[in-house]
Amino acid sequence: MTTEATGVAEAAGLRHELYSYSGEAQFLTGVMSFIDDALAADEIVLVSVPEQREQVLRGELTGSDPRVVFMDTSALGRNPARLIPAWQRWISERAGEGRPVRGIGETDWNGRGVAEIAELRYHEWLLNLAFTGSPAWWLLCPYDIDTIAPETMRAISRCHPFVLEKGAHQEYPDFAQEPYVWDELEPACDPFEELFYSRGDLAAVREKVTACAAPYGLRGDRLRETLVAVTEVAGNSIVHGGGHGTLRTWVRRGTLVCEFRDDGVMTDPMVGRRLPASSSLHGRGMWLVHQLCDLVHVRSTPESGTVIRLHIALPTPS
Amino acid sequence: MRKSGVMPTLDLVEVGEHVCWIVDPLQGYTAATSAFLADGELFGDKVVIVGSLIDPSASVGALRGAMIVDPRSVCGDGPGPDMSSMLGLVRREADRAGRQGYRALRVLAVMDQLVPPDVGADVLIDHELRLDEAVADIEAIMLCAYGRDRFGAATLDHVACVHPRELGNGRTGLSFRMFNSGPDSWSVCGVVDSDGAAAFGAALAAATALSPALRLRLDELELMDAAGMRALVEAAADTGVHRITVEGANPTVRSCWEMLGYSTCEVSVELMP
Repeated sequence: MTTEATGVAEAAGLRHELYSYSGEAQFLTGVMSFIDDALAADEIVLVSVPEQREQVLRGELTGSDPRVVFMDTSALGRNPARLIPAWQRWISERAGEGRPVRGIGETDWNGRGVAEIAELRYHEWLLNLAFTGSPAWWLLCPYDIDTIAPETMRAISRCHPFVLEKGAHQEYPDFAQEPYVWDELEPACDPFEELFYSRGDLAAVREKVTACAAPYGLRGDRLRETLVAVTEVAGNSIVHGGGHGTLRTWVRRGTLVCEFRDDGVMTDPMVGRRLPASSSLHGRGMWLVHQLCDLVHVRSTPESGTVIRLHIALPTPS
Repeated sequence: MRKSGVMPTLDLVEVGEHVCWIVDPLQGYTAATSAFLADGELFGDKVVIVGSLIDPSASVGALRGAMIVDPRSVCGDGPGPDMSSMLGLVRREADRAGRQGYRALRVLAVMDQLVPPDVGADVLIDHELRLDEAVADIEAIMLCAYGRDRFGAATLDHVACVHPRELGNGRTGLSFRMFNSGPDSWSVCGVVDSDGAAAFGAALAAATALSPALRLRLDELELMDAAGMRALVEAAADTGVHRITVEGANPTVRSCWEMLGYSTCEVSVELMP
């Protein structure tokens, strides 16, 4: 299953560059050279890396240069879909200062499951689409090859049009300028609950999800947030997805999964991943879903319709 | 705080309640209204029936002393219904009932006979909200009976959600209710989702016309989705109202409001802490 959109090799706004390294020393070599080049050109560098890497970098940077800004990503949570709007916000804020902007973005891969890894790879591919109309900036993506499976690393590499290798910034020959091939979704956990819904059934959708989640201790504000998310997605099926859909719910590895299938097609892969425009009140439902859920999978093609899976981490049993 | 939600029978209806009754054609009016009207005599209420009875013979006992109002005298002979005269009747008779020593006014309005089926949901929402504001303010019980086979399902959904109470009959309607909770104050309970967003927007438009400085109390609201919040923002923008002040929103409603960007952009809605 693939996207309708193809990859973008030369996004007008973003130079998206891979830097694969092994160990702390190589991390510092590549990243510090990137920062030094930026500062020599009087550019701003926004840094979003795991806490351990941030400490190493801070130790390496002598003094406190105001042009190097460490971004706090803790509030973003684990859903990769929140990274693009965060970068959009940071870049737009800094671009107003009149200096060129660079970014360094590394994701913490510790404890990531199969579903999250698949979504992180998709996020890397979507970055190329997300900044086509933005101010020009340069993003370096460091990847520690010691923590990532080789086949995953190969797939992620193909999402980057450029690469930093042996000290040289160059085009990446294996970049795939073609429709994105999604990873297969894990099969629904058996047994699962199923509900067919149409107009007037949103309350029934909420009841079904509540019944599935309640035995696992999901309640209060987090349950209400979950119910807002499922209401949004089921409502989209009714309004945009042929008037009806099918809900499946199950629990696997401490996560509540709510899967929605309908006949609609989402042609824009960036739906819900852009900051809501102040000029329009429409199109904010999927944005809200991405903000509320720990992970969201969207698979949509004219042949198969749309599948959306919402992942909500369940409370840890005490 | 006024009670809201579905009630299984009319036996426990209290003064100040405004009840919607979607009448199933197979059920008819007789069974439920007989007890409702008989309770009027039991509790010392002044009973007013707006509309001719569907089955007068079955309710003779209960009708003793009831005031029957010809719907034509309320709505006039104009091309469209004059709903303000109905409101005037309720206020006038409630005042009289108090002076005549009754506990309260108890009204059954047979809406099938008061308005044509194509009257439009906006007219009915405006009428019911005005009526609700009056009932909350006076000593009265108001039962509005709408024939299920007379009005469209969408109209009935819109009308039911602007009554704080509904007589249950197995019907699944919209998930929210909006009703008066004091001067210029309206409460919303339940869930506002995309199924109910249009009705919510229509109710807000009617309420902002009644209360230019509108207070919206969300203490009993479970959640509101993006479509509901859009309806709220649009209502404030469309009606030229100065500001809608939202009070009592739970943390989920508040965080969704912020996530959608409404807390930082120019909208005429203010969420109070």
